[in-house]
Amino acid sequence: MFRYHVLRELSGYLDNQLSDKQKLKVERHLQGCQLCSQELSKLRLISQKLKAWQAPELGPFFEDAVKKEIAHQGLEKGEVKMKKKTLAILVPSGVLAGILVFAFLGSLYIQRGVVGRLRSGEDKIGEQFDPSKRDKPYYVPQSKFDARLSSKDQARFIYNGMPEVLKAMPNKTSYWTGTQEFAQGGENYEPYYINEGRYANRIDNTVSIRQSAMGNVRVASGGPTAPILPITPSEGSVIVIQPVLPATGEGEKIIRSAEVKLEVEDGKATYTKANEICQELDGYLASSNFYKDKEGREAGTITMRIPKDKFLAALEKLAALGKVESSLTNSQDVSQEYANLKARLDAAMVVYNKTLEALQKRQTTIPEAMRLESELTPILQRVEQLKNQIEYLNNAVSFTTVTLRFHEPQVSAKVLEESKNSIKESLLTAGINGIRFFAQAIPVVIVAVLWLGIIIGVAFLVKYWILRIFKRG
Amino acid sequence: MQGLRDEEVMLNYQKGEVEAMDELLRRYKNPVYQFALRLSGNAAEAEDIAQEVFLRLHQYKDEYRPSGKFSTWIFSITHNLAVSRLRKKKWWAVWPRRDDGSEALVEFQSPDPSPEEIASENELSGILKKCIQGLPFLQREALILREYQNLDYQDIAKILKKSLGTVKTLIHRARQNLKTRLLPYLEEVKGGV
Repeated sequence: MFRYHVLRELSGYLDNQLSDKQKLKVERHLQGCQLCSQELSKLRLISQKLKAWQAPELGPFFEDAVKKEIAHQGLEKGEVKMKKKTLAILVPSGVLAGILVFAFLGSLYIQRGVVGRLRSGEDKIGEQFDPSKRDKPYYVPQSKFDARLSSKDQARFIYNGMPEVLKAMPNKTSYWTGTQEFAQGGENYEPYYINEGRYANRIDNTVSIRQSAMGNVRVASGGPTAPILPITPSEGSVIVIQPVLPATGEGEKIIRSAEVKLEVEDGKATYTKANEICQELDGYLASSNFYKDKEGREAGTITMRIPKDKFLAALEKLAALGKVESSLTNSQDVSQEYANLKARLDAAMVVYNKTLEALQKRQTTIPEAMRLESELTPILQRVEQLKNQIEYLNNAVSFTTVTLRFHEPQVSAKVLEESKNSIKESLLTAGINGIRFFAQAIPVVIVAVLWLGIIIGVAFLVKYWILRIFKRG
Repeated sequence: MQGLRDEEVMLNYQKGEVEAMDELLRRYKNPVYQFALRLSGNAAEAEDIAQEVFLRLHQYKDEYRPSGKFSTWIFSITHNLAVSRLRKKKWWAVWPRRDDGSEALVEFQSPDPSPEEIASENELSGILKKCIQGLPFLQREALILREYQNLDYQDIAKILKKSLGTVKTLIHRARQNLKTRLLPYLEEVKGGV
């Protein structure tokens, strides 16, 4: 009698899948165990009988079909299957995401989180872009042009059939670059130029400049004494400053000044940088003003004195600090005035020297000396006065005056940031409400799932019942 | 090409020799088809699986590494496809179908053919077919790979992604089940003769 049998090892023994040691052990057992030997015989019989099931072979067209499929559709078919798999994941995910987004947007609409605030103007965003709600006229940049007029010329700009006039300052050569804007007021369009902060003067019988169909400025009637610069292709309200100074002869005394108006993102940084530019160009600050308006936008005005040889460099550097709204450059020729002063000084000096010489003579009597001295004093005052005037002119000529006006945009980054925060707050509130909505819907979903489970269970019971009927039948 | 081992032929196909596919088809089209047929019991489905196997072989030829037997690799593909199709059928086969004797997979048939059904089969192969298809899927698969494809247990374990011990158990149980179902009939036939 054996304490154990090798029934579980018999399959492996039959298939010759045992190790030598196991095989030896089974063989020894089989020699003395009739039960296991009979079991092995049965298994061997079954294994032999299994060979009786001869599966048919494939037909002759299989290979051709496979090769054809490989050649024409094989790889593509695989890719399609992969696409189907991907779609099987993406489509349900997309549908789910769509439902969530729809529910979220619906909750947004219901809560009127954003829409309501925008409509009611709480965050002032709608108001900023709504001309009807503004105290000031709504400005729309219409055109951009860059023209230069020589002294005593006056030009009329015609734009969209509306004659407008830009007056050139007398005895000056004006370089005017700016954005022409129109404000709607009453029946007529009233023009003005925001870069100058005042309305342009209407003047008749002036040089007219029309904007041609090609987009360039050309002379329509009369004629300017200086060339008209071509228009740079318009890009909204961006203005290109190209100041061109007239050549001055040696000894000519010309006082130059410029005013640049910028829209900047950061007023304080602009103020600092402008100071740095002034120092870098060996200039000095004449005056400065920095402030914040009611809406919290930073603005300021800096007047700086820059050596005349660094005038253009200063304009270029300042223009790079922000978006140029306007740039006005003026030149005043004071050569004649300077020459007059010099002549008067020379004459005064002659009188002064002669008087002084007479006074210093020994034969001069005391009363006469007193008279000469009383005459000398006003002459001396006159000489000093003329010297001061000449020195003032020299200073004005050697140092140009550059005024920088800057302000942060009407819809500044800060205001936008505050608006964004307001919107974020609205979105957050709406999001929380959306989550609450879903949370409230969870019990409904649970009940629905339970009902679905019951229905499926009943269906499977019916299936089982039908199966049994089929079996019996 | 004919003197080369399966792995070498596959490597040649990997390198771009189109003729290698002819050789692989010649060698494996019937084993793959017969394996699929015995597994599914459906000739059309078996042919579809066989075709899909060779398309996959073509599609993933660059991923083939001759570290194991080629036969193990190709039967693994067949196994995966068969399991995949079975899962799909299980999912869709919510409602029962009356057994037509050949078309349906065993999972949707009565697991135990009645003695009357067995007796009604005139040929032994038909009875064997019914008995084998009455086995659970993994037992059936392991037994088919052993008895008809003559693979050793190690290879079967790789194909089924099971341990060696599991494969031994599966084959043992499959034979025990067959013994229970088939022996009465065999003894009856023997006694009748």
